[in-house]
Amino acid sequence: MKHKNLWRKRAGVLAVILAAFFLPVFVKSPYWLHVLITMWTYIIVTASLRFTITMGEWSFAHVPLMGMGAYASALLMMKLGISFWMALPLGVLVTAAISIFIYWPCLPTTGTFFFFTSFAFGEVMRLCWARFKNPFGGTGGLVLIPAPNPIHLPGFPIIEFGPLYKIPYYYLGLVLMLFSLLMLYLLEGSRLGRVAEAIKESNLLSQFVGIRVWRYKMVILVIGAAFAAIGGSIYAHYTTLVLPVDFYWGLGVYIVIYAVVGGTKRFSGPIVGVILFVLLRELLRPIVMYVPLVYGLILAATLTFLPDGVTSLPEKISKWIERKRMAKA
Amino acid sequence: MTASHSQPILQIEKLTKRFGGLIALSEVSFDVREGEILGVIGPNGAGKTTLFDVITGRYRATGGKVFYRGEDITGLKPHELVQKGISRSFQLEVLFGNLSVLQHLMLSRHLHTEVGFLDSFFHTPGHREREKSTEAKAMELLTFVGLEDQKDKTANSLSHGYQRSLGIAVALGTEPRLLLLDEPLSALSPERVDVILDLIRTIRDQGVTVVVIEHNMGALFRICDRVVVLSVGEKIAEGLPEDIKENEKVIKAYLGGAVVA
Repeated sequence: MKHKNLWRKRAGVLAVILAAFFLPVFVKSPYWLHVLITMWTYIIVTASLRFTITMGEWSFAHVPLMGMGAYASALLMMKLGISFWMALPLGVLVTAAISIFIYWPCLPTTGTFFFFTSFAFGEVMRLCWARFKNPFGGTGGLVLIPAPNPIHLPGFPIIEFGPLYKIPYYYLGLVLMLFSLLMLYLLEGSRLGRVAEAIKESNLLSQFVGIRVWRYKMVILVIGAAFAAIGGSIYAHYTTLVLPVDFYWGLGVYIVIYAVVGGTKRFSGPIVGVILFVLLRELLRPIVMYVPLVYGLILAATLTFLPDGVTSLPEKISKWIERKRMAKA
Repeated sequence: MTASHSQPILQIEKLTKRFGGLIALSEVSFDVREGEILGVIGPNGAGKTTLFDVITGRYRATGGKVFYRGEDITGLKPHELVQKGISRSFQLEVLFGNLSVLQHLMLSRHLHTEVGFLDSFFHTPGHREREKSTEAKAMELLTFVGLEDQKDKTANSLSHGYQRSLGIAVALGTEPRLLLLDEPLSALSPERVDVILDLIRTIRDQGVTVVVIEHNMGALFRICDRVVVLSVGEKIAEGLPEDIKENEKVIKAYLGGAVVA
């Protein structure tokens, strides 16, 4: 029974991935492709935020670190003239290194205090981009960020990136998202994931079974930052423009809402959360000024009625049906 | 018993802990001998738990030193002490609430499972084999403390008595040579008290030195080789259980409030 479920799950995941690959066959409108490309980046950022949440702390520096990834890879390409395919991994490494300094002063704190200290230090970094014209471009940000270099694959036509072609970006985002999700999934199933769970349940007992809590927390946060940087890098080279204000705290709140409404207990939570909200946002386009209000209401309702998020719904329903059946018998 | 001539496994020298103006421990000194069960008793607020917290690195000592097998371990962090073979349980159940009993034991083997991180990342056959041997060891420990039937329950759903056993099992999973138990008998039924006392004795017989903080003096005196008595942060007596029972200072501390030395 358990095996059958597992295979059904795997088949389901495969079907979704295939559907995502063939979606551009049906979706031709550049507008909708744009929506989907942004969706891929948000999924990377939200899923990596959830990864850090598995050890019990909510980082609010996550979105500024996504911005750091955007700035780092854009600047590497613009100032050093290296290829996008080098700037992306280097930007990720730079962001990971910077995140150590961001999280260092935050780590002695836990809970609400961690949330706020990480917010403060993330904000310090963001304000540095606004303050220093060189190299960050000040409040005007970076403009004319070059598109990724064309891909030459022998036997295939050259794949070029540019403002007029959405399709290459669609697949770039999709592939990087699938790569990030696979990595995060494997990490969660590894020893690191188990230790994260232990730290979340009891920081104190973790220390007394010999876990180096500080180090593990730092490693988890840095990994989260590295994946956020991937999302940031796609964002920068796709929109060709990054501003400090793009990564303000409001985006952080939205990301947290996506994760919470999707559910932070399951791996699928942030993915489902982002998809739901991206679609919802399109529905709300006629009343766009009420978006924060609607999001807030949805968040409040989720926390009240479905604290484990939308992805806990199937399990809840099946339990409810079982209880009904038991009552009848 | 046999312990009286062996070398001290733990030496505590003039250990002092102040919280602001409050003196929780004041120049407490005693030795723990290898292979013994040492009882630490004292009225509420005597500083017993603080003593454990300072020894195990949860709090930093204000003064004094702690030696483990002749090595200065004052100020080391909990995970470093666990590595050296010092483990403890907690007075109020400190557990991984939502994790299963088996998962607790697997985690308690953290230091004793060599996992290549990449192995666990890719779930290689070697990794699965090691997981199996860790699980076997975990089950062995669960059987030892009598929790084998509860292995899939979460810690939160266990009864108080079982939680206590689980706490001890987790401490044992780290393979300690010195085990510090903080009130392992409090709020247990009389039958359960006997179970835990037997368990402590068996642990000692397997070569682990045990220090037990306890309020339940009657029960404690049945298993311990020696007793240290604390009152208001000071050591007021140390000796064999039968001597301590007669000790005037101790009687006064328990019946007549704190002794002013």
